[in-house]
Amino acid sequence: MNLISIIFGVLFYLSACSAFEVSQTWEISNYQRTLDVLKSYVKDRTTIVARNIGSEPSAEIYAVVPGDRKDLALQVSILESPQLTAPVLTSELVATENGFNYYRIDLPFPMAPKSEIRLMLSYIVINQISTLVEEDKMGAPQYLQIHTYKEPLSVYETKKYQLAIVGAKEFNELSTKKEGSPEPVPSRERDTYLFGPYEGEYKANHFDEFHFSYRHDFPLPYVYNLERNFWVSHWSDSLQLEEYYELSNKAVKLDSGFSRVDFMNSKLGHSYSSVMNSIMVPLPENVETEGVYYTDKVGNVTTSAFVHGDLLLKPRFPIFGGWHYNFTLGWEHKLSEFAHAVDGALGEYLLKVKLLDGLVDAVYENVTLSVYLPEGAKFINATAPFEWEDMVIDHEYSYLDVSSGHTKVTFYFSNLVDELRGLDIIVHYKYSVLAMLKKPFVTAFYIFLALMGLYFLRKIDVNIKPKGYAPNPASK
Amino acid sequence: MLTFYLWIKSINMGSVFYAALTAVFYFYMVSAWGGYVFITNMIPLHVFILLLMGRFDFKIYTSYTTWYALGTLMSMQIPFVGFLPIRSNDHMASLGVFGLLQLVLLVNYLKYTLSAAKFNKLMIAFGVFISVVAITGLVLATKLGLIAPWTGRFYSLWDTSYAKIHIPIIASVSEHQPTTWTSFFFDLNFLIWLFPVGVYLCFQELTNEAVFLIVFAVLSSYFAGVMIRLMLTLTPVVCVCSGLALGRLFDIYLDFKDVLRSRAEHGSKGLTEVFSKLIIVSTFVFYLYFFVQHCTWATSTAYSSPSVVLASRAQDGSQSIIDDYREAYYWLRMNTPEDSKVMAWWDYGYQIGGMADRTTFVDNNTWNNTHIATVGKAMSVSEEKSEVIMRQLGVDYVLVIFGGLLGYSGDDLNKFLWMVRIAEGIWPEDVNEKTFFTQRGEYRVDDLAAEGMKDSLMYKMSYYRFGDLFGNKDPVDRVRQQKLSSNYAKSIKLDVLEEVFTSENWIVRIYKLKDKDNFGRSLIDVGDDERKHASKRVKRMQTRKKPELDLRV
Repeated sequence: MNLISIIFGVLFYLSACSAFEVSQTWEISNYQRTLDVLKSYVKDRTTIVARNIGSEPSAEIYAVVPGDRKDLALQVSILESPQLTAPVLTSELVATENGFNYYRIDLPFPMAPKSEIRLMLSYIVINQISTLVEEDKMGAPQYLQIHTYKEPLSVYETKKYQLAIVGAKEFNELSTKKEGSPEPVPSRERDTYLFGPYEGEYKANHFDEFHFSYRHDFPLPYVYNLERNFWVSHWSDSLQLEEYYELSNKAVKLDSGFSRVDFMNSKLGHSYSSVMNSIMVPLPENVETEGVYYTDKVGNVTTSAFVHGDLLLKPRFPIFGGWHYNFTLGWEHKLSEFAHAVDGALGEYLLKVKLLDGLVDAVYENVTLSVYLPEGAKFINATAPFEWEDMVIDHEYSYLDVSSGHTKVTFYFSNLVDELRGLDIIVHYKYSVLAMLKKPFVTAFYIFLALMGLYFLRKIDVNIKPKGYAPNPASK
Repeated sequence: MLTFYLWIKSINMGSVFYAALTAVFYFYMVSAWGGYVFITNMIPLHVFILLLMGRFDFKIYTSYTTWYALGTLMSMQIPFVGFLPIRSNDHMASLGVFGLLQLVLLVNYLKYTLSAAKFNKLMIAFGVFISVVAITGLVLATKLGLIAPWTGRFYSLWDTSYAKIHIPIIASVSEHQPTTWTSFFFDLNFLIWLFPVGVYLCFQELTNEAVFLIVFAVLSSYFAGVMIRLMLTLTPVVCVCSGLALGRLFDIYLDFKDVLRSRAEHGSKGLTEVFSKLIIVSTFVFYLYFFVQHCTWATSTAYSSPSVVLASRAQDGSQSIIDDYREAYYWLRMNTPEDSKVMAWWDYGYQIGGMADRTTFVDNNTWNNTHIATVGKAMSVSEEKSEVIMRQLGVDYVLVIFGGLLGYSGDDLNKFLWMVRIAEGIWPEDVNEKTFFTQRGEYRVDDLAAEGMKDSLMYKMSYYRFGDLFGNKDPVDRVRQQKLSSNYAKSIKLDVLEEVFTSENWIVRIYKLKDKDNFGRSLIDVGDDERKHASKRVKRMQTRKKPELDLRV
């Protein structure tokens, strides 16, 4: 049935606008793109209606995603029509040319000629937003800029397109206007700007640069490194989480040194601005959370509070653009709510941990997630909603470890955003009763050895006097 | 304490084992505490007094020689101590007593072997010879520099005002101030009057141990009177002596055997006796109970509050924590280049090194007085001169502590006179303490402050933009209780440094040394120029505003 898989001539043009060509078996009859800039990264959602104009059924379609591949946080393609039970499609990167990534999307079944499908492609590109000016005065409104493309991004010809920008306050187009062509003017509804829908012939592989700025009086939290450590203890029925953040704010920088007077007088500490005065951390819902702590490298930070069940952290100092702040956050859950025994297999457990907790709006560059299984536990396998970059299994010594140390399973991820906080990682491991009992017994044995050692040491006579010697009282 | 306990035990038993143990614990003290010299002198003194009392025996000889040989060898392993035990005067006493013990042993031996007449002759010759050799040796060694001259610390122990006059840096530490009577009572509570009783009891006994206690008591009382931090040495002996006194007291008053016996004979007299005994005992039980309460309270309030985090109570009794130090240090750690160098007064050296992880110029372990004086000079001279010093030192950031907004009295302006004095000790021609006082000899920071004060970098860094915080009202310095006029406070300018961080309550202010001007102008001229232009602009804006007002009519 895959007979129509045509071997495409991949032609490499040196021009910037087209590099990757596929056979024109599809035609986009409607292209709707939404750029969501409400958060500190751009969420790009494209809905296309594609029509097979070829003569044979086709089971694959190509999509193009702009941006450096290392900045791509997430890419999901969903088939909306015809209806399917599992609409998420697999897509495979086939080429990267001139800053564009070409994906091949495999359809679940070949589409007959002249039939239409409706696809939704959504992706998040980080590092796409930058501040319009590098430095500005304290308290000045913050303008951000985005470089993207206006006309349809497609390897196929497009008949109709529409571009919506959501959350761009005080939108201002900066790209140079093309001469001659009637410049589309966006219609505006509150903070949503809408271009189109325009009808016409839009060529394939035509990239029309688009540069705009908007006002965004919020910080742009950026976590360079996040270490998430889960400690599993079956003895105390607890799952401890400790997170170490290397946080920064990518917002506009101060043009001079930080002046506390200006900060106090402008009341920036109490208003919305690009300064991070506090960090909101929603705690996991429906589970008991205990022993929350918030520290940094110089000790406990006393300024944290619970607001409606969420944790509100106040950093030691307001985090301006370009400033850094490292901190550690931790809490504890009952293990029984996260791990359960596998039926039919003695001593095997399934542990479900969250991929992310923490900040409400943030980009994570590198995330290291470690699960410290108890000593003597055997890792069987793990599943994650998407592929990890690397997984390492090793051992690490901790308190009262008597043999090999805790079994540590480490997953490495990069380019995550806070929207992925609901996703779970499931770790399957074996921890037998014997392994569980080993630790107390070995510990007890060592203590016994120490006491015996003491007992034998006391038996040794270190007296240098000869036996039966009595000190002579007349030796003065 | 354990060292002393083992020492007494070894003296009593003449055991090599216990003397060696003493040496081990002495080694521990040497490695842990700079005041180990106290022990090094206590033990020889005890032995010396015992010798004078004619109590010499082989037990003392065994224990002392063992302890001295082992202890000294071990203490020399510590890099800081090194060869000090044979060079510095602090350790002379122990060495001398060691030698003396050998002599005494020799003399004793001769006494047994020789006849009385011969012995006397020999003694005189020998005595003269030894004293001549010893004195010339000491003088020669000192002259040749083999033995360190008497240190300042030694002098300040004898004469409390010595340090103030000659070494301002020693006197600038609050721990080195003489102890006040109130602090004696605060720290020791009712033990302070039980202590002499205990000492008296020791005099009654006069065993070897009692002599040791007496020596300990006398020495440490003196030291505690000289320096407040040496209170530390007084407390153990106070505890022991008071314990002795209390123990004796309870021995007598808790003894009801007598009463029970006499009661069988005649009832009424026994009852009053029991009653009086009970009163005394209950009084002391109350004292002891109260003492425990007091100690707990004193340790929790006075001795366990870290100086980095300040806790205060709000009006509603809730505790609020002022964490400015850590705020600023953490800012330094997070947001400055890793190799940046921070200039601050030495008190904060360790804190900056530990919490902010940045290099400092002087810290709590800086031995070089000139280093400290250089920083003191940079703080106390005018901006132009200070810039030169800071460029030479390679300063990136300058950190000052300012308590004026909050009323935190341990700030740099209150320590400022010490900086001035220390700097004056090295550069009397550049820094003069008198210029920091007004004509009437007052230490003022407001409009009427002395010129030297107003010009100094420290003053400018403390009050830079302080006036802007109060709007048009006059800013008040809450530490020194002085009011600056609004206009004057706003006129305080700072050109060579740029404010980069100020903590929430203004306690820590961090400045950055500006880069040199591209056109080679002095930074102060640049600042003046900008102000001139700025004031022009302000004037223009004021004139521009006027028509708007007219239009509204």
